[in-house]
Amino acid sequence: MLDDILREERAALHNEFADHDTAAFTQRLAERIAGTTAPAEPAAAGSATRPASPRPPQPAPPTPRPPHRPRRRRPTPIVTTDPALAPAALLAELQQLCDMVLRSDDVKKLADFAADFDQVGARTFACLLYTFDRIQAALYWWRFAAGAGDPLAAHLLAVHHAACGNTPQARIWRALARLARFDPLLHMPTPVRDRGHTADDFVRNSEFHQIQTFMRMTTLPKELVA
Amino acid sequence: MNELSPRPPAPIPLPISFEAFFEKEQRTFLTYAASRLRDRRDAEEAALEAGRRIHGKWERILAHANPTALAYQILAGVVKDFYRKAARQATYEHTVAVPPDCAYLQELRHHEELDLAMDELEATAPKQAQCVRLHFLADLAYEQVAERLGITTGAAKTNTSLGVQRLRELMDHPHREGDG
Repeated sequence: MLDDILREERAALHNEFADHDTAAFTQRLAERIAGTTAPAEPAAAGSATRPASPRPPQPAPPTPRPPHRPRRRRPTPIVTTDPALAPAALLAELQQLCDMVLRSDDVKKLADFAADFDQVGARTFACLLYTFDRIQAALYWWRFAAGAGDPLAAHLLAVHHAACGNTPQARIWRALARLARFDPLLHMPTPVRDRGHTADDFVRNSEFHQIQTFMRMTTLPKELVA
Repeated sequence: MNELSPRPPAPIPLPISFEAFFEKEQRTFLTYAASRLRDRRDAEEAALEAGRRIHGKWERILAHANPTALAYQILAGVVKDFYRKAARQATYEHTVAVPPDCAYLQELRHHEELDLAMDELEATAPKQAQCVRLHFLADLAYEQVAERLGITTGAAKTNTSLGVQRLRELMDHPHREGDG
């Protein structure tokens, strides 16, 4: 069974690149390198040259040291992963995105979420849960919002799973965010207040007790686990 | 290419040794990347990014005891960070690539069982996962796998065997959490 699956995978990958043009791909790489290599600063044309000034007196050369074993400078190691893409950095960015949502006018949708599970309200509620470390509950309501068509919820799930190293999940949510036409210019909320307390206050004062329950639970009840 | 100059920049001449190396390893780079990223464009992007980094450090890599293994380490790092980089870029940049369709999502579903097991193996025994990818999916001989991972041929055979055994266990008894 596994042998068959691996054999099929190998054949599929071989077919995928059957029409690959090695020379053209190398050309693309050369263009990529040219595009990212900063050219050397040319000398400014027409710049006035400074008149030659007399050289300052040179200090006396230092007394030569007695010969001993020369110091070897170790070359810096070749880093194979990008430190800027560490999981902690991406999780911090996700927290900032949640904070932006909670400081935006999307908090007004929490009432709609309590009334009839509005998708924007669900995504906003999930951002609140995430800031309170209710991760499972936050993922549940982001999935709910993404399934209802909220592109930002799909993107937030892609960021979370990418940060945690869940490759298959990151891949599928990235694909779904792109399928939903996620565009940061259109779907990233604009903060209109300094703090996200409005969302917190709403949930604490809400008459919809179930959403308060999600705030208290650290794990999802087994009926809601996929 | 930028908003002021829409034409791609003129390619720079590549060192002959680097160009020969990249042309020789290209397909394996792409197959390795595609086995993890499941999208040809993403695999090409990862291979190009790895090629760019390898080019930037080519003199140092040539001086290494096993330049091929170091190049594959760089590729593995690029592939591993791919979705994190994509997540950061999606937050700030407007993507112009063609969005995926439902057929792509169905294809991902078809590969899900193996992908989840390989992901688990990658997290717990990365050397075994790499050996399985290079031997079974990229169709390399054990000696070639050993050269690219900087291990002995015997270690390549052992890791591949252990990796397949673990994959079988994971696929026979999947452990799934409801985390999305």
